[in-house]
Amino acid sequence: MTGCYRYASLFQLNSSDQSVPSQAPAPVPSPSKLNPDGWVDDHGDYLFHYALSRLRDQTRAEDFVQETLLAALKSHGRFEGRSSERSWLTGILKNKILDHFRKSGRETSFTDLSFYEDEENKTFEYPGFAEHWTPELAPSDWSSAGDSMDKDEFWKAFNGCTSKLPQRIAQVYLMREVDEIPGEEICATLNISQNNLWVMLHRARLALRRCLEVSWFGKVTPEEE
Amino acid sequence: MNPQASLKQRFIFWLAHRLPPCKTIARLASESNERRLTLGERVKIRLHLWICAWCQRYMGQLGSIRQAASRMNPATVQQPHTNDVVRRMPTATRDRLKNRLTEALEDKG
Repeated sequence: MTGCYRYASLFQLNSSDQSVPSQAPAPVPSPSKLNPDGWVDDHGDYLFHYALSRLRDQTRAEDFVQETLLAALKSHGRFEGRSSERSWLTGILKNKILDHFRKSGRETSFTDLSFYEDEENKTFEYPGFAEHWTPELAPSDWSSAGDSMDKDEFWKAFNGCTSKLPQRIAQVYLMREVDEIPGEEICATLNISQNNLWVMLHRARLALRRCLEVSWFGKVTPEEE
Repeated sequence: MNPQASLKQRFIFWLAHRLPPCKTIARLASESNERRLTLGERVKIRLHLWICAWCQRYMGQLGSIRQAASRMNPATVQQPHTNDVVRRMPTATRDRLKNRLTEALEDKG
């Protein structure tokens, strides 16, 4: 009997799907409701922060935000309310920045990478046991941190730490982990090899974890050189 | 090795010498986000994590940081962080932007 019942409910589900018209389309904001001042007030800081953390140049970040808002104004009809206004605007900004990276081409300086190679080697120097964690630099126990990764202090530390990474590595890291762009796409945009990308991401993650442990989790730094 | 070491310690020591070092495990931990690791790599990681508390922590922390980073993505978040967390736009820039947008809006209208 349960079987029959299940079928019945299936049919009901189907018929109700057909009889009830699909949900009314999301209202498209009409141009009369355009409120660019509101954009600046509501999303300006966020967009500015987004651009600045990737471009590391205040003037350039401001220019990108302006271009983004002007482009948004022009193409407002295309905003269908499927996403929040902020993610729509961020999407435009993201594409502009990616375009910029694409055009600026292969300026990769490998000094950054070699710096991180030294860091990595220093991190894995267990006395008498090659390539294992250096005890003072090894991960400490974060379990007492609990939910505090949602708190503002964590985000401040996160922003501070990513801004300390060499620019190129930070770019790649933010593209991969915050924007969640697939690796292949990042390689194509920046014209780097997959292996190069993986090395950069690894060094970024290693350095970022260590930095967070010190600046957010408050582990005392062993003597810095 | 310390001659007083227990059998367990000796076993861990023996195993540690046959597995990739922490440096390699850390690299693989990162790469596991980028590609599917081979069976051999996964087995080595599993065995290494079994005897290495530091790498266990490293694995877990990488995961937490990754999750946290994706929360900065406005596309996946209903209420992205604002307030103190983001670097604020200078007031002069804000005003300039508003003026520029108003002009553009007037041109359009």
